[in-house]
Amino acid sequence: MPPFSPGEVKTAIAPITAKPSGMSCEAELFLGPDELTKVASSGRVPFVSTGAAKNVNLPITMPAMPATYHGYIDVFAGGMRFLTYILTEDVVIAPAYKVSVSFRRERVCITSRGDECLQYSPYERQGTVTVTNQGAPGQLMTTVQGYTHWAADYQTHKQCELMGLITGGQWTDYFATGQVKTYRLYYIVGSTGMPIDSRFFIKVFDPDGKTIAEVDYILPL
Amino acid sequence: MERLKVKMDDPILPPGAAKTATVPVTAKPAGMACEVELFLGPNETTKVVTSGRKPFTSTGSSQNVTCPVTMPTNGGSAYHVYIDVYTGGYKFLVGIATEDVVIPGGSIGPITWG
Repeated sequence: MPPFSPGEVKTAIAPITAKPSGMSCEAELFLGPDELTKVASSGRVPFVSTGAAKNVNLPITMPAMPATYHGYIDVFAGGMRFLTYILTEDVVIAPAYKVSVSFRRERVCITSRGDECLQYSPYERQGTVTVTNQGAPGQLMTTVQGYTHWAADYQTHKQCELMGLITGGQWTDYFATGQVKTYRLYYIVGSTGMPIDSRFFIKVFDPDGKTIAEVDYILPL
Repeated sequence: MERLKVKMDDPILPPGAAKTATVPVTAKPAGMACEVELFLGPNETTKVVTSGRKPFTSTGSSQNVTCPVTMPTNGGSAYHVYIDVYTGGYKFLVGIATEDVVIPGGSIGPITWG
């Protein structure tokens, strides 16, 4: 069974054979560490027994807290519990990792007067990656690779041939929910006079190494 | 002898449960040595479980007689409830409950997630 996300609404379809037929029954699915602790429940869903297997839909909202839970199904008739079942596989609620990423490329000022920059370096650049954690807390890894690419080719064919690596970086940090971190890159570009842009591939990975964000920025050199 | 309809709510009981039925019996004349038997079954000749004969002395008016019975252990069936009253070895009152005793049973699974 694949893991579910916190707060995800799922429906368990339970084939229930209740005898004799014609009984007013109720079925309840619940998740918890044990059968006395209901962390999430479908509530009691009514059905009438047919004496044969009958699919009963038990909708349930997954717990908000990532963990592994046992799943239990109880079936009642006349308020009396007469069937109990434990799911053979536990329900795993995996943390939902979600981030937003932005990238800003700036020139580097080499001569200034007060706050005013009088001259920028023709070769030096500074990039800033901003990662905002909008999901579960955890150790997240951010990678950046910056290349030069032939701009005209991209304009025409929406694809480009990467010409050369100009910068790269990798950072691993713990993020609380809502936490924002910025990572800086300093790099040098060549002055060719050709229509060449820069292209940055930024990825963020969750603690299991799964990609949770992937962005691609094309910017002037 | 036609069985009298005896009012009873529709009980749903767990398999193997020991329960006691309280049966109001009016036997006349007063002072007779009587016995009452309550039994469950698909028909009056098939006793799946029975209280056995419980002795009491008639009062000539309605009196509660208790009939302990252990429910069938096999779930998934409904059983008619019969009451027979004897005196001197003769069955002189017969009753059938208006509702059946239900012993639920069944199975679950495997489940799928939709």
